[in-house]
Amino acid sequence: MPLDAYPDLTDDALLAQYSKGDAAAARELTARFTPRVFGHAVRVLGDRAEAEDVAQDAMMRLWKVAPDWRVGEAKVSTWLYHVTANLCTDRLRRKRGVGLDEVDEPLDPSPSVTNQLQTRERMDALQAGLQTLPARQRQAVILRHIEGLANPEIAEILEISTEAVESLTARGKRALAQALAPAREKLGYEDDSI
Amino acid sequence: MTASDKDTVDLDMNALDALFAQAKNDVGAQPSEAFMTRVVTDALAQQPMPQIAPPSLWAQIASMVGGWQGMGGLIAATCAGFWIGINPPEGLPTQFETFLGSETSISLLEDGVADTGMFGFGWDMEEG
Repeated sequence: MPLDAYPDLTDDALLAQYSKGDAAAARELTARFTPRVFGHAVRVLGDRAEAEDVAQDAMMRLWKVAPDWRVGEAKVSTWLYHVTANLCTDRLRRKRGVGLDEVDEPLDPSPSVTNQLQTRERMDALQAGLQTLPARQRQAVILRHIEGLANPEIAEILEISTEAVESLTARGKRALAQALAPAREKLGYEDDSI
Repeated sequence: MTASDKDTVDLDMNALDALFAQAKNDVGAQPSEAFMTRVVTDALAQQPMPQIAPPSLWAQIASMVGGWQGMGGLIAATCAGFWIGINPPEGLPTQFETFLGSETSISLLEDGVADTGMFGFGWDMEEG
């Protein structure tokens, strides 16, 4: 069965279907949320294996809470981001002091395509830059600028005020720009007129 | 901040925005197929069993008598019994006769003819 059997169903309705024992709903929920949860975790943690652990744990919590889910109280995506952010924070606390040298090696690029190589280098540099930010700043920047969430939703996820989100993302972005400035030439932005 | 400093910062911010835009579609941040399969397996393992409604009273009765075919036979037998009760066939004793023991006798002789004449009782005495 395809993963997207219920493309038009709302998240809440899908969760209700899951709770009734609908296997297709389980697959659709997985397809809808796992990439987002994993993407957030891997950007925050900088480690695929750890991100898989966190994403699997977050999704497991969703499966367990599904029968008791109260429609309209929270968005499924917000709830999942909140759980993921907390799980990431816990992991980061446990391995405090990780430097840039310890960030994962770049993923294997396709060697034949120059563009892909450059894209990979840019993504790796961004990942390395993100790792230099304090955990909360990093999460706020990722949620705002990569996940594309609105500030009020980020405030709910991180349990802070909207003003605090604005401050975190602004400071985070400035810090990231500074961290990446020395790598501008390597990233191919030196002569770009963007 | 000098004008040239500001230009540098602005350029960095634009470059950063471009990086963010690329990161949104970064395949390196996508989960593997194997991982997706693992999550689906978890989901199915944790999923509550499908809720099946209990059978209705009629369905339970039908099941007791052997399903809907058995039920059809039972209804046919009931109808036949009811019809026999209303309009019993010739020669079939009625319910009252069975319970009260009454009999129906029919005289085959003409009125006034002594029935006793037809019986053999005392014949040997009359004949000697």
